[in-house]
Amino acid sequence: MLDEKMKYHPDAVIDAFGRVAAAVAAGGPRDAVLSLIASSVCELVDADVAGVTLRLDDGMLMTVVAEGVEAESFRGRIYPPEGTSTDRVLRTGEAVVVDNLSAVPVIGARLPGVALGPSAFVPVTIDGPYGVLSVSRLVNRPGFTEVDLDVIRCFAAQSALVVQNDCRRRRNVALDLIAEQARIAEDLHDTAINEIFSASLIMSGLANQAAPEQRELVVKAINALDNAIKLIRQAIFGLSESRALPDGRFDLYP
Amino acid sequence: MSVRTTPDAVVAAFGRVANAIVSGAERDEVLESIVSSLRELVDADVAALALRLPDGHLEVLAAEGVDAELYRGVRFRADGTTVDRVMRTGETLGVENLSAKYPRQPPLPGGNPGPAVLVPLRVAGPDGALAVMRLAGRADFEEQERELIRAFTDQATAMLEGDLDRRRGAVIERINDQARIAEELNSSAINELYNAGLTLSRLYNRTSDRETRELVVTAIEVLDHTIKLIRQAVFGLEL
Repeated sequence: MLDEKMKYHPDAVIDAFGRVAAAVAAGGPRDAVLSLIASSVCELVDADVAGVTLRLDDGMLMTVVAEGVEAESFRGRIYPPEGTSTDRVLRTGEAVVVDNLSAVPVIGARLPGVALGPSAFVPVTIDGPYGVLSVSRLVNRPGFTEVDLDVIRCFAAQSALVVQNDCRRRRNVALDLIAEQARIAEDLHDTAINEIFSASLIMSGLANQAAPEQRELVVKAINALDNAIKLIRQAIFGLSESRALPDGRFDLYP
Repeated sequence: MSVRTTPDAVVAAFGRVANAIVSGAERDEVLESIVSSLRELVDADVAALALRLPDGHLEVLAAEGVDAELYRGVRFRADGTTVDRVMRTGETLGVENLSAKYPRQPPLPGGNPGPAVLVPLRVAGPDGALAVMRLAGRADFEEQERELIRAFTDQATAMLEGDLDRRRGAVIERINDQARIAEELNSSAINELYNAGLTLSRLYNRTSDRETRELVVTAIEVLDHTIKLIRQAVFGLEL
């Protein structure tokens, strides 16, 4: 245990966390910050490749960032979850550690040309497992120690913070758009009420000139118009009692 | 470096803080966890975080350590304080003996603060500062410890930004919810207008008076126009 700790130089740890914390706080583009996290964790635990994979709305998995050896073959990859360690982590919420990833049949078959050995898949947890931070060394290299896993978990938590803040920001942008549309709707409704008013004024004039049996019809129409105005007014101004808010869902790609 | 700042302590503290942030706990609870983890990590006696209130005063939202209960919840005028200076310059400030700057302050029961590091909090909403102190007479903070204090302040910033967005989202969502109800009601309004239009059409068929017919046609046109306006408002907003 003592030997393991000595592998980490305090300066390296503080530097890495300081860099990541600053990037997370600055709130840059999600994938840029996640890339920094992936490269920092790679460097710190002496891994060869690291990436963050998220589940898409359609259930497919997408490796949104990857850093390290052959990173470009992982980055942006979209694949079905069946049989993957990532899927297992997403379903159980528990980290999965594999001694030799290239020996796992499904994974080995999917990544020709990249022989990954010791690998750790750690959940990125927001409100339950939301994504996975995966970190690998090349085949035949030593496995990750408990201390390595602690570091990876810690960076996974930072990734979760990034994804959560990004989801909230995106969601607010989408909500703002809806609010703007609602505002336009309200403006238009005011115009609509004016129009209905002028219709009912015309009809009041008509009611005075009409024969008794026609008059009844006109009054009925005027009442319908009044009702319409009342409904619109209610819709716009009478909404003080708000309904319970639905749970905030984190939309990945709205 | 301080004996306590071991790599695994740093890793554990950062993991704890990030987990607290995404756990969905209340803002002030998370801030408490940030200042207490930091205080322990850099072997400080007190750590506290203050944010500016809308009236310009500062409020200590979280404090941990010696005499923490005396700091927690305190509201004070920023003007002229060290915190104010840090917030205005936007620069981290190290002070060798904080108490020396406030000679008229009565001594604190647990001992007066000496070495202190103050870091500005830059949030889109209210700004503030995080302060970490050791009691007077203790050694000053070292560069590594300052770096950790800055990093934890960054975590607090990330937390506060996320919290602001969450609150803002809840407000917009409520407004949008009201708009959705409005939309539902508007479809009933359109139905009513249709009924009025149908009644008028029957009236048109029953009358032969030219003037009446003209008036009815005008009224029907106005109704059609109104229905169009409402439709536009409700469905056609990608104008």
